[in-house]
Amino acid sequence: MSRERSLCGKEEVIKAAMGIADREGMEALSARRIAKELGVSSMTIYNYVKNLNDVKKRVLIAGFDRLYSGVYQSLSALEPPVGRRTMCRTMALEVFRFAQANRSIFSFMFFDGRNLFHEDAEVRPFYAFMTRFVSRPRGHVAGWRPDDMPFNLLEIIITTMSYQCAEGVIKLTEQAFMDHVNFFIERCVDE
Amino acid sequence: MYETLKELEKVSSRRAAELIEARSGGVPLVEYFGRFIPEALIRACGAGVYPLAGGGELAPPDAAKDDMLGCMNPLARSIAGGVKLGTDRIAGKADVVVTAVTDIHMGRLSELLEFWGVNVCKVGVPSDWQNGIAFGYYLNSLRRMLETVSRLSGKAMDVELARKYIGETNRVNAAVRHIKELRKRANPPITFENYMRLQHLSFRLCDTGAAAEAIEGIGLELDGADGAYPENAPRLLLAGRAVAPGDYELLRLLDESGAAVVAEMLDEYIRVSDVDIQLDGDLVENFARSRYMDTVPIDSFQPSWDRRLEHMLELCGEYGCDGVVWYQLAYDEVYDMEYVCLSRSLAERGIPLLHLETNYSYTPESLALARKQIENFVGGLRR
Amino acid sequence: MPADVHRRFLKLLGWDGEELEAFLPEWLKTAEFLRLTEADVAFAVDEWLPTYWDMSMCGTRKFIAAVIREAAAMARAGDYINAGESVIYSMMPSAAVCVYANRIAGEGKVHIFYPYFIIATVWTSFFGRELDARLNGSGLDPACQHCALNCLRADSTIKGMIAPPTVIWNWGLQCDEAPKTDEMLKRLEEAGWKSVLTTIPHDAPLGMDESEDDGRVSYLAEEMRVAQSQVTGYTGVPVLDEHMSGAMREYLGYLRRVERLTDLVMNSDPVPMYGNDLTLFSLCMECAFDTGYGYINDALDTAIAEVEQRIREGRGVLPKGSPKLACHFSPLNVPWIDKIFRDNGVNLTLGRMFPPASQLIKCVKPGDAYRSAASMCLEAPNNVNMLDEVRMTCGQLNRYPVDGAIYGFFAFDRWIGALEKIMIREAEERTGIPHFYLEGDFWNGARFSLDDKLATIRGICSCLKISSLASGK
Repeated sequence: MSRERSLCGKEEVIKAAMGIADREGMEALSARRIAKELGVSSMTIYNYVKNLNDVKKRVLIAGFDRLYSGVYQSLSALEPPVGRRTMCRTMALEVFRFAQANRSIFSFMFFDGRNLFHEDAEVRPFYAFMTRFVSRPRGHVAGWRPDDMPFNLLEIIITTMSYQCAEGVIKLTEQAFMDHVNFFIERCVDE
Repeated sequence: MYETLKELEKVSSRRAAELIEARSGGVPLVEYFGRFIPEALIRACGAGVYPLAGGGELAPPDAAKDDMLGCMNPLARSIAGGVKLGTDRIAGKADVVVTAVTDIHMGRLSELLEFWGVNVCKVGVPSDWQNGIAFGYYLNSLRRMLETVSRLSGKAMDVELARKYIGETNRVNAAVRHIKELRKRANPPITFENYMRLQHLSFRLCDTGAAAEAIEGIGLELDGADGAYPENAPRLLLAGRAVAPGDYELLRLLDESGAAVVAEMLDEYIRVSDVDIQLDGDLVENFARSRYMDTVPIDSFQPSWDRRLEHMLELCGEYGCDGVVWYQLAYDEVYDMEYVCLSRSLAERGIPLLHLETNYSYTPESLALARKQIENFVGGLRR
Repeated sequence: MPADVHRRFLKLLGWDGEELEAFLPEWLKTAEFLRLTEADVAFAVDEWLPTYWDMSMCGTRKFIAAVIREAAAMARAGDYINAGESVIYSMMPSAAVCVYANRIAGEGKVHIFYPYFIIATVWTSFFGRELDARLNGSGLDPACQHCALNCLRADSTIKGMIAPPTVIWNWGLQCDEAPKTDEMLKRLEEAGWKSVLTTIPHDAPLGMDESEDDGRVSYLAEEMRVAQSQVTGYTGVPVLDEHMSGAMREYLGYLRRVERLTDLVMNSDPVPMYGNDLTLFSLCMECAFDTGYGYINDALDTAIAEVEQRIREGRGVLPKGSPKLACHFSPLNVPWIDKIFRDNGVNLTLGRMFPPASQLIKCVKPGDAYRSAASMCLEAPNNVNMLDEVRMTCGQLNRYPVDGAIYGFFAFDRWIGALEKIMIREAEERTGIPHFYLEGDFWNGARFSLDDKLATIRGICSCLKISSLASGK
């Protein structure tokens, strides 16, 4: 009688899920599909994760890890000090590129997944990245609140346009996308 | 019996609507949770009362998952979720929600409701009940709560009315005791599901007089009724924190298993019927004494487990129980600890024990699993 | 030679020469008591301690040594009892002043220990032993997510690891589970251990400043007084006002040092000390050592001097400008968390988010020492209602320049962890500082893995580093 192989841990399930999401899209993600990928039964998957939403949440967080690692790499390659407009442009470009390279995961991160997890304590801080991490000079809330609005809008522009391009709803070159971003930044974001 | 309960359900549904209407006419509405809260005395302060009752449904516990820790017990999560989703039809309309803070699950639940803007009045119930100063704490906390209600109604507690309502509460207790006696019969005339429905309804009628009348009537009806279970069914005692209004499906599984649940030891959603409240003297103190000192201590009290085991064994003896079902709420850590002790004590005495755990996830799969567990246990008792 | 590895261990922690040889037999007994094998000790010396603790800091080594000395004293508890002396066991979190006053009053004849806390800390923090594998005997359902500290208590008692004390002083300042563990053990062991309980219901209105509420302070003070009289009934040693005052003085001396060290570390850029190390120094906020405050104060003074030196030299554990992430209780029992943040360029810091000594000193009023002790207990963020806790933690977050705050290591604790998810939203709203949540278990690293948390931690670190660039650091 053959015994089913055991997995190394939850991370193996998440890695397999990321692979499926990358190749086949988030829609393809199911316990059965992950199990097939790993050569185990669906029930085995549930020894490592609570449910499919648990997997999706981990995929979403892994997506943010990828996105923000890329953003940070690009920003840290710039000559300091980096002005706010430059930061915004760099981030916008990184988000756009990420969306094109990770269509399905990106859509999930900022749309379907956001609906599911935006109140989840572990996921919540990864949203509103422009206001949380860029607009705010270090210090107390009173110092950065008035700046919120342009950054909120910029984030919506960046994510929505990136999503629409990735999904083929609109067709924009990277340059055309950045032209839109620059148009907004030059009018609304102080250096 | 079924028809009578259905009729009472209708009355209780109307009652909620009447209370809401009375509120618009200036009668404050108090929603309350816990055996340590005196519905009779709150009513005597000029307010309407309604029990804060959640639990048993899957959706509400999940609704609070982003606000509350996942390992709070499902009863606390369910009440919170019910308020968040608006399925608790009173919470949003009550002038105040009174909670008895007996443990951290209830403490944090109360805070969460407050955070959401619900006006909460907490009654502190110290767990070290044998400490001389602890009773005074609970008593003072009760008095402060009643003052809060009086401020809302603009009326001081009407002592004569309070005496009347407490008298009615004692009548309810007597009627419950009568039905409990009937459950000692070789074949009890009431199923556990119906018995628990009756218990819950006795609160939801929101009127001790009406509750007394209803339960007395059912008692009379049951006097001449046939047994509700198959003949010679194994007899069970069910113990745990609470059987909630949404738990009926599980109770049905028990009733259909071929065994009869004839006795229970529960801490919430159940009448404290073993002891009456004295009608002379300070009624608030009498109530407090009856709940805090004169009855079997709840699980979180310290110490309590020796007395609770003793009581459980007394019940097993009185009701002729063949086995015990421990009804455990998932993540209810102190009850799980009591279970560890209980399992050893009962094993030493050769009393079979079933651990039945719920996370209020009554999916077909989880119910099938519970059915299997119950059937195996009952099958074992038959052998 | 078997003792070699033990010598290396003691040497690493600062023992030397005759002092080392004199302490070695005691340490060997302690290691046996702690069920530590030579392989365990070798692993600690060669891998665990150098990896997760800044062993280049003499202060850190001294503090670890102080904990080891306390463990050694605790291993002698049975001898104390046999010699006719009294032993009081207490539980975390407690009012350290009340417990310590018994030691002062006893003049060497009353010993105070927090055995489960010390064992858990030594095993997990210094020897890399996860608790899960050691809790099998507790009988508690693992799926119920009991506190590992209570499981350890049950398991170690059932296995006869801990000598029976004269009395156990239980504290129910936070959870219900810790005091009830005592009842469970009494039932299971029928050992007849004597115990007393100090507790207060969590019924304060949301937002109440509990340490300012006369009713709550008075009641808790009375609970403490009643418990003390019961403890005295068992030990035969009365605790007088002078003992309470003496305990308070020593406790405040310790707190002031912790505040000084925290101020130095938190106001420096670069950060001169690991997060784990800073947390370690606040270990005695809610407990007291039978070995007294001498060793730990010496360790603190040494650390303060070393940190001052590092600040003067501009030396830090990460480059200047690296983000600071304030941690609500750095999980020093799972020390890889601090390291993984550091490896990703972020200082996990602040430690225990207790109010500074200067804040607690305000609770000390002349007259009734129990009132002061009660007031101090109600000025500890984890003991009080959620919005009172928010008030206190925001005070901490506004006191120091930090880039973010992280919570979640009490995801098993139905009191501390229960409402953290909404509490951090509130604290973020009030301070503007980004708040993160990483679900974990402070005591028990076996309940979560690096693999599972790595993406979240890297994501948090990237966000904070982006934020640092944005603020021109």
